[in-house]
Amino acid sequence: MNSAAAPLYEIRNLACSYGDDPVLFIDRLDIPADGPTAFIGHNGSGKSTLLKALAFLLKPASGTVRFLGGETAGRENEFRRQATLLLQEPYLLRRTVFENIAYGLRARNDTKGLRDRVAEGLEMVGLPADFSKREWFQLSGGEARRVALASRLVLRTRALLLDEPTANVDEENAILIAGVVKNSWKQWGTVPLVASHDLQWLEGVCSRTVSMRRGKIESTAG
Amino acid sequence: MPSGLLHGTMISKRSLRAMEPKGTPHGSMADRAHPETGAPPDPARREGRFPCAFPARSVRGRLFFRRWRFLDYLADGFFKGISLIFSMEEEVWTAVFTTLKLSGLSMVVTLLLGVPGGFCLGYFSFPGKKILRVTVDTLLSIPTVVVGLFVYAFISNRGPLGQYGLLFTIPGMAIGQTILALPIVLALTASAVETMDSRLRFTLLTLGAGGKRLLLSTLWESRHQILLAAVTAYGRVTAEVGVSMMIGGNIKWHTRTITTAITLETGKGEFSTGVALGLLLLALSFVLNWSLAFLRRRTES
Repeated sequence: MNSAAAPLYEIRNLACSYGDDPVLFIDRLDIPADGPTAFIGHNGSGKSTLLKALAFLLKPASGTVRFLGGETAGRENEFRRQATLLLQEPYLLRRTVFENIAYGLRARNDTKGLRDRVAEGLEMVGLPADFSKREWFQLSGGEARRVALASRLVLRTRALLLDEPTANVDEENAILIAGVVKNSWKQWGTVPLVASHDLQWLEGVCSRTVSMRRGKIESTAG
Repeated sequence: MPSGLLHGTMISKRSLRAMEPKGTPHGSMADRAHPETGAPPDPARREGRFPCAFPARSVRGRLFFRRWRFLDYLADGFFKGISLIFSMEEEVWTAVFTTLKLSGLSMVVTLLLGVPGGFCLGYFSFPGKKILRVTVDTLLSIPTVVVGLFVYAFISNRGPLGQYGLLFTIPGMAIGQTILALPIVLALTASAVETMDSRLRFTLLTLGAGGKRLLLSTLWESRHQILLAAVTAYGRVTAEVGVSMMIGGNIKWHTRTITTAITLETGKGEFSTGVALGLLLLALSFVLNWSLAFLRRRTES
C-alpha cells in the first residue's frame, strides 16, 4: 500500500445497483487525501450510495475502488476499519452513550484509556462527560446525531464520510459540526468526505467539490 | 352450571320444568304439601331458604334462588381457596413447585434451541428458508393434545424412546412442552431479527464489527424482542393442560401441575382447591403480563 503519494480513493468504472435498478455509475474519479471533499447534487443523484460504496458497506455491481493505492475487492473488512460513515439518519445502538462511543474502539481491540477517549469524543461534539451515562432513548435527535459523530471521531480513521451531517440540525450545532470536521482533518489527518445540500455550510468546510447528477459525476472543482 | 342460568331472560318456563326430576310436581319441597301427612306448605320454611320477595313458584323466584346458590358456591370456593394458599397446603404448593420446575426445564431447552435457531432463520438466506418459516408459523397453533399424543407414542414402552422411561416423568413432560414452546421462540426471534432497523447492520459494520461480533451485536440489539418471545412461550407452557395430562398422568406429589390439578379438583367437586390453584396461576399470568408490558414499553422507547 503506497499511502504517501496515492490518492485516498481511486474509482474506476464503478457501478452500483439496488436489485436490478442501476443507481450509480462512475467512469473515473480520484479523491485526493490532501483535504476535505464535498459531494453535492439533487435528491437521488447517488451521493449516499457513493458514500456507502466508499465506506465499503455496499458491494459494487462492477468496477474497482482503490483505497490509498490498495485494491479493496475481497478485503472490505480490512479497509472498513480505515473509513467510517455517519449515516444521514444515524442509528444509535440500544445501549448507553458510553457503550455507543466505545463500541468501535472495542471492535478494534483498542481499549487503552477507553474512559478518557470517550470523554474526549463527547467534548469534541460539545457534550459534557457525564452524558456518557445516558441511555440511547434519553437523547434528543440533535444529541443522538452528535453522539453518533463522536463514536466515529474517536476511531481516528483515515476517511470520515458524512451523509447530510447538518440535516435537521440547528445553526449552532451546524457550526459546531463544521468545527469538528475541520479539526479532525487538521489534528489527525482524517479526510472528511461530506455529502450535503447545504452549500453555504460546505463552502466553509470543504475546499473541493464533486457535483453529481443521476448517479454520475457532473463536474469536479477545487 | 349452564351459563343460561345466570341469564334469566334466556330461560323459558318450559326449559325450567324440563330440568326438574320427572314424576314430581312443579316446585320445591317447601312449596308443596307434605307427601305423607298432606300438611299445607310451610311459608316460614320457604322464606328461610333464601331472601326472596318473589313467589317461590314463579320463574323469577327460581332463577333468583339458583343465582344466589351459585354466587354462594363461588364465594365459598374463593375464600376457602385463599385460606388454602395462606395455610401452605402441601398439595397445592407441590403442584405449584412441579409447575415451576417443569416450565423452567422446558424453557431452558426451548431458549437454548430457539434463540440461535430463530436468529439463523431471520438473519441468513438459505434454500428452503420460506418453507421452513411457513412450517414454524404453522406450528405456532399446534394443539397441545396432538403434541401429547405424538410424544406419548414416542416415549411409551412401545415407542422408539421407550427404553429411557420418560413417560409419567417431568423430563418427559418437558419434551412435550418444549415442542409447544419452540415454534413461538423460533418465529418471534426470526421476526425480531428480520424487522431490525436496516441501519443497524451498516452502523455495526462501519464501526468495525465483523464476523462473530457482528452476529452477537445484532442478537444483543434485538434482546428485548427475544425476551418478549421467551415470556410469550413461558405463558403457553404454564397454561397448557394437554401435554401435562397425557405425558405426566397427573400423578399426585409427582407430575401434578397447577393446570392438571385444577382439572382434577373441579371434576371431583373440590371447587375451593381449584380456585386456590387458579388464583396462583392467575398471579403467575399477571407477573408474565406485567413483564410483557414492561418489555413492550422498553422496546417501543
